[in-house]
Amino acid sequence: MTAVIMTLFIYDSLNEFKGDHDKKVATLMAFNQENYLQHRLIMNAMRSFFKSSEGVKKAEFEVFTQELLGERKALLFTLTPELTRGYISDDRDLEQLDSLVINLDKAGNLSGVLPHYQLIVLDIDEPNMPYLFYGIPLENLFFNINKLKGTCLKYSSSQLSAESQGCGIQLASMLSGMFRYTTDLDISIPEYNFYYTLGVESELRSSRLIEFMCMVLAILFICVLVFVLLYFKLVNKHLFNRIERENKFNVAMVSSINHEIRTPINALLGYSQMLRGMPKISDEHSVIIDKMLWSANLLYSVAENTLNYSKSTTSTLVLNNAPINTRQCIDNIHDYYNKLSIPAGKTLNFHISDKLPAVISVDSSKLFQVITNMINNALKYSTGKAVCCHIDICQRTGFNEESIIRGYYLRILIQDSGLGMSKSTKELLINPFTVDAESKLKQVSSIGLGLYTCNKLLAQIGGKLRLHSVKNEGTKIMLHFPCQFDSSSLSQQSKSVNYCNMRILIVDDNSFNLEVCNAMLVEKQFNTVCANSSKVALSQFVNTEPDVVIVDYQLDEMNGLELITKMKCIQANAQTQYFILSANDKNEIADSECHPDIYFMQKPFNTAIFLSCLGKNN
Amino acid sequence: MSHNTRDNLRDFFNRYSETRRLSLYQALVKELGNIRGQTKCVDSTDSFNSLKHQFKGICRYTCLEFDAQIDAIMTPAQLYSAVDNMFGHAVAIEDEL
Repeated sequence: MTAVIMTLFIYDSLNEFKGDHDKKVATLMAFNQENYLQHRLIMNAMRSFFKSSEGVKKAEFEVFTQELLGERKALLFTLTPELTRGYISDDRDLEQLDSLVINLDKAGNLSGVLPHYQLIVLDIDEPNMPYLFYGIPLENLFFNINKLKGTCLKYSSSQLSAESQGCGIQLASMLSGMFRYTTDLDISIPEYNFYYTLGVESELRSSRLIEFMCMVLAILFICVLVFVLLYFKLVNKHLFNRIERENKFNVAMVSSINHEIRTPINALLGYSQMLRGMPKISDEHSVIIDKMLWSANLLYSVAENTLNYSKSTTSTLVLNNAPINTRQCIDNIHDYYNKLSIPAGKTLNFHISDKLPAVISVDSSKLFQVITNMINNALKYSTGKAVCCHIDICQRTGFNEESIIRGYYLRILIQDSGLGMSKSTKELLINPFTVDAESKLKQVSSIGLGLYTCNKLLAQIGGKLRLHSVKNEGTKIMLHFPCQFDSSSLSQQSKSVNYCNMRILIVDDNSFNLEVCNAMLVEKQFNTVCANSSKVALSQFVNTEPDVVIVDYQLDEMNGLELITKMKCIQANAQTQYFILSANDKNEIADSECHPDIYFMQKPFNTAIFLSCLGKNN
Repeated sequence: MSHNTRDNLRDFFNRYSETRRLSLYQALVKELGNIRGQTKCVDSTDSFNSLKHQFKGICRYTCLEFDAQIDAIMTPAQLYSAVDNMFGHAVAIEDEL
């Protein structure tokens, strides 16, 4: 690439230099043409002078020639048939004629040589002086040439060779000699037997040469620079790809480790719970079990944070929104702390706004993680005794600067009445693993990941974590967690809808689950039909032609999806709405993505969630 | 506000009308009895997991579910113990319904 650019540049520059030289040649040709015409004019005038006069006298010759030549330093003189001196235009030049050499060849042609003069012989119509010599001095030959810098003019004829003053200087410059151009012009005046060659040599001026060399070096430098930058860009791209691969590998590794860690932690939690439920547990042992539960939960939280930290640093966090029963979700958090037995002497109070809708669409696992993380921090690190958690919903524009769309956010305020956070502890928001050397709670173990992870997590999912801590007053943490809420569904819920005309077929091979689900729907006045096996379900389906079918995923002979597929084949009623009920998450069910028209609900069956999905197109 | 299993069962049944309670109770006892009976003769991991899954479903409906506790069940003996424990609590509150 560099070679191509350089070649193009040099080719263009050489063309330009050659163009400059051609211009100089054209200029010199113009000067020469002027001289040529003047000489020709003088010679013609002399011929006419002798032709029109008879017996030209010396005085007449002198007057005429001096008038004709004017300021020119040329010579005009005549020779007798015996080749002796005749008239001369100016007697002061007589001495110069001493060195005149006359030559008469066999053909009778006369020629002469006079140093520093180019002599032209003219035959004139004067019997006493038949030969007229016109001597052009060298300085006249190079007339005006010195005005063109960097140009050398070489004059060459049969009588003399000469060159202008600039030629010697040019030769001394070797570098510019590389850019030297030569043109030879053959000029002739045949009627006067006058032939000569004018050689024009020009070379690049030093300033142009410096400019050219600077440009070459600059192009070389820029090309090298561009190549170096491209090289580093490629290296960086490779590095970036490698880091991305390593990040993915790290997340996969952390996920795998996290999964392996959580299993024994769950076992520890479960056994501790079982142990606490056993009879004859003394108060002393109960306290120890509570501590075990608390520690195991913190360990679980650390494992979750580690996974989310890895995901947040590689921007792979995604929201998995699903409709949830708001009250039940908050009750789960409440129960979590009830079962944990929070640290001695501390209290945790929840204040739930009445404005909270019954059903919202939210990533419940991340919401649970963020809220418990912040409450755990308050319980663990705050020196105050009371921790309060206020939860409500608000509508506002996004936290992203460009965002103008108003969305719904769960607003969670967690407040404690401790001594407040130190400056270095606040830095945990943006800088994980910071250790507060001045903290009075140094003995409390911490890796400083929770606050940072929650902040990062909220930022990535479009939420916001705000921290306000005042010394000796306590800390307030405001969380804005994005959620989706269809306000029209609330108004629909508030209306008393009559569902008695809606037939629902419930299929579950577990009679208790079937009975509970049935009881919940009957309470809402639905017209229900129950089936405890897939065979009975297909039969009931044909007989009742239900509007809605709710199927347990794990059945005796086939799974829920297979049963629904069979039902769709039996009946062409496209209005039937299908629900799958499973203990697992939708993502854990194979082929769930292939059935976009089927609603997946997690057990236990929840009437509010069911009603929010009823009549909607998935 | 710590509820034990029996309180949770009471809370669960109290949500429904008296006529509905009985059928729900009978269904619960029947299912728990089935699971307990099948747990005794478990012969494969799949059948064990299926019974554990059924028990987990019941626990969720009765709001007794504590994932960690269910996850801690690793052997048929532990499952039998947990189901039997719940069965005992259910039988104990029969007169209150």
